[in-house]
Amino acid sequence: MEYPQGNQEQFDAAMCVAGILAGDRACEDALVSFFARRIYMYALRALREPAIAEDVTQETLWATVKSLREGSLTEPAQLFVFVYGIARHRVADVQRRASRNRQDAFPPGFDPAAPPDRNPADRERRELAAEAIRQLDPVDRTILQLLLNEGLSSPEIASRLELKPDAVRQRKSRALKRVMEKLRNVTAARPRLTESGKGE
Amino acid sequence: MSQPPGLGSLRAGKENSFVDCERIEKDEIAERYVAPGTVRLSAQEAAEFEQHYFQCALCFERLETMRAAQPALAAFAAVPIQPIRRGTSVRIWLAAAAILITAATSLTLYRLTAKRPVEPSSAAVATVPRPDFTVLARYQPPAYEDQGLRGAEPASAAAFRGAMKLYSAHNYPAAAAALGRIANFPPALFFEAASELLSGDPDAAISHFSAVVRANDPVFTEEAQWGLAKAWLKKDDAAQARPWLDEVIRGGGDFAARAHQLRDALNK
Repeated sequence: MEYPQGNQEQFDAAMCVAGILAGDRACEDALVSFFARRIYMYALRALREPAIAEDVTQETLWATVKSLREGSLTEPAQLFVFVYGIARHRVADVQRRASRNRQDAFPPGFDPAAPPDRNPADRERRELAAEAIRQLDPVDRTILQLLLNEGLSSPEIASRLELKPDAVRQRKSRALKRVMEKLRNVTAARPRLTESGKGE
Repeated sequence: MSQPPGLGSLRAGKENSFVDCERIEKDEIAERYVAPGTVRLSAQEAAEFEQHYFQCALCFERLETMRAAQPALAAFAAVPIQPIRRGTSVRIWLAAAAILITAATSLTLYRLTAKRPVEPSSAAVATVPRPDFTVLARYQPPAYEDQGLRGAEPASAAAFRGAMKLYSAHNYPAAAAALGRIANFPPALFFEAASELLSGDPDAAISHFSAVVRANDPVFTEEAQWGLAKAWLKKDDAAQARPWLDEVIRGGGDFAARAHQLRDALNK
């Protein structure tokens, strides 16, 4: 089965579930491409440790693929919530283990010398974002800064900068769109799935 | 279908989701999700949004964009932000006109009253008192003890201790590099900034001290503000240093008296 790669808009859950059940590796790759970054982002926010978030991503992907190979999911439309549910379980497991082992200096395999951002696509994404942000109007940049790094809402920013709330929203949308367009050039890194649950 | 694990009360499927793209945009849910200290987004809201972006390409793209933008935005946040006043241009023009009128009047009066212009001697210029930024910018390494780390977390504590051995040995460039590799650990970020300033890299120190201030951790905020003032002085920019000294003074903590003295010295 031919499966469109790297295009999230064309991801078809039903086709993917049926393909994996039929033993089509291309569908497994497509599933990994679609979900890997979503799971990672969720796990990183919950666990705040890139290496552990990577492990959770791999474990979740592997558990999902295994379940789909066994035909555990009978309603393909539920694939998204199914994957999210597995990821939530994995994250909860890690949190439970961490609370039991608070005295441990390191989780197994943790390498303190390893830089946290090992994914070249992440670095490229950040560099392109930085380039786009440098080119933004200073007011738009300030709005994004207050919004994303200081956690203020648009009305709060409007009040602080003495702008109208609608103007802040418009500027925010425009600025984000510019950064987003820049990031569309990033070559998606293809995550690889291994049966041990560890990435390669 | 097998029961999806761990979903609690969450509903499945895009059409049944509590949140949709419109509400996410309107309530700025993605922004609140990525912003630090997400106390304003409940666990339920976060879970609903997560379930949504697992499915929605557009919202996930926006989320990734925001995440990628955060570090770059932090670098532009080194100075306290002033209001962008509407009608500023009119006020600037009025002020400029007033200055021009005053200058023209003064020039006319000067020409009428002055006998001979006197050039200031180089000796006189040399005696004009100016703050010595080299002295004022001196920065004492923040104290560090290997026991009872402030806000330490077990997962990164050993890496932090390893890096701080370099700091204690006054190898600040190596300490800054090692501390920079430790993610999501407030003490590492603070001492990274301090090490950068002690290594003679005030720009990097400003960026990281600013991040510490934004994190609003009561343990490090005051010292980070103090560090920001010193970093700006290192760049010979007293105007940028003063607001941070004012913040330290307002906080009334351990550094308030020193900040007061430094601000007085700058004002002389």
